[in-house]
Amino acid sequence: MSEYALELKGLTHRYGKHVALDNMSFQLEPGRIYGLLGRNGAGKTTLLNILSAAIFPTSGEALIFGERAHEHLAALKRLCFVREKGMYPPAIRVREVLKACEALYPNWDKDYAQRLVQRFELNDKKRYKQLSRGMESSLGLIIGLASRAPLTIFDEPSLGLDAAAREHFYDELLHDLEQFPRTVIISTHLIDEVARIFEEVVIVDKGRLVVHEPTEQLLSRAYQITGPADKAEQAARNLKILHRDSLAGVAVISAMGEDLEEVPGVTVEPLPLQKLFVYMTEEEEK
Amino acid sequence: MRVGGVVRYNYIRYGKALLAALIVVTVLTVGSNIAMRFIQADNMRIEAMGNGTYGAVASYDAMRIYSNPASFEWTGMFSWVILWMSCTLTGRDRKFLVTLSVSRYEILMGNFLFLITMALASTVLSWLIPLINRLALLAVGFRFQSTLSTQTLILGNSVRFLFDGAMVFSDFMFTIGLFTLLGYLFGRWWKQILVIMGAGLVIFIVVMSQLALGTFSKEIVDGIRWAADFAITRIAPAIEKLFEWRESYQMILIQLGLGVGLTALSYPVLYKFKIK
Repeated sequence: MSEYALELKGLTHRYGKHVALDNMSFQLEPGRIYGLLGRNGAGKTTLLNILSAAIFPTSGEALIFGERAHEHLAALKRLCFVREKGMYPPAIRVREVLKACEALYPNWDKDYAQRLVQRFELNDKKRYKQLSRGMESSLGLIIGLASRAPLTIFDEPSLGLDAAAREHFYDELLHDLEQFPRTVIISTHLIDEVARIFEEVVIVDKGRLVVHEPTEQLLSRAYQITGPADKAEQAARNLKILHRDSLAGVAVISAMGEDLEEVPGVTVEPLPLQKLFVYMTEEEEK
Repeated sequence: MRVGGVVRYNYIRYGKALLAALIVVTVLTVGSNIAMRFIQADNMRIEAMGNGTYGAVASYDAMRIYSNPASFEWTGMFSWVILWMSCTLTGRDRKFLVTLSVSRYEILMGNFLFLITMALASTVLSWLIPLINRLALLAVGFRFQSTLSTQTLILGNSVRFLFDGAMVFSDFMFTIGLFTLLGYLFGRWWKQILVIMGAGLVIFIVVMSQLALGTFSKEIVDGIRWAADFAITRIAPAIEKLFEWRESYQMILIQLGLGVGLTALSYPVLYKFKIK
């Protein structure tokens, strides 16, 4: 069995002439939390749909613990994919969904699921069509957390959730992973909010892999340099400049690299992950 | 394998509704049957009184006679329920189960086993509801035309009770296989099927209207006419021959075989059925 929780080998997918995934290859080791970031249309959801065997790649492979998910029962049993838009039957009740999960996920923790229902204040007698957007997301989070699947994927888990519910989710995730380690992939647009829990970041853009790196390592090489324009440029001269901005004669330069020059009179701060992501993918566009 | 989980999911999803429907149907059928018998008996009494033969009959009670202890009834109704269930399981529930990381094989097998339990239950109920009917009629004072043995009262008038039960069950199994396959075929290729049906309708209209056509069009229409004739004169009779009256055990085996076979044919359709 492969040592990787997820392995992509030359994964390509086309919708007609449009290339959604372009020869993507990378590996994710088990037992870590990954952030999967990308702009709208970058290919994240296509990638996740291929992983879960909802659709099939044009070429290449996506392997879960060494096996393709499609019709491979051992691989599928180890996967829980919480979609942005769940495909629940509209008339199904929340408690019926949870009972179904209990019947289908081998590691399902029923008591934990019930505690989460109370923590997220979800009425389990309600039908799915009666749930608000936030409640739909809460249900997805409960499924993802209580499944205890060795590979758990959340696609936009925070949609419609208020700030308190989002904090509950992050807390629960971190606490649960301490006791029951597993591989978690979170695909989200709320980058700065979730960045603190990502151990590694995967950035995709236009179907291609842009970055795959431990978060700390990535951010340690990304700077926001503020100061007089000439001094800021001097400090960044050996770095790859991602973005320039200026306000009232003060330059703000976002840059990446190892060789930051120390120049008096400039302020250097870590570049937030969200900005790094935006500038990197803008650069890809150019 | 999570085939059992899929069966359990289907019972969670549909069990209560089916049970409620069953109770309602049983009460309505038995109730309406009893009411109908009373009305029938009353009409006979009024008619007898009208034509002066009432006195010749021992009493009004003598008219309250029930003479049809059939073993299996309401099989058509159960067939419709099984048909509906077979088609329903190929739709939204399939998508939901795939999103819960269930394989398409597990979905097909789980649904098939669930439908088999429905077929078994339907077979038992198509005997049980008439039995409840008979007992209810006796309880309210109806009598049977001839003295019934306890066996006939309980099992109905079938000479080969288990055999007839097997035949009913095999009917249900054929329905399961056929409508599971049709459900998946239509679910996956409904656009293509509708296009073909639409084209077929247009061609049918053209053929039937006997329009004056150019040479090429005429050849196409002639070809279609030949194909239609072939289907009607050769294929349809062959299918009819397959299902014409034979020894019942052969029919049971054919229907059971078709039930399993047609369901198995659904797997290639389902194998790469995308979830969107």
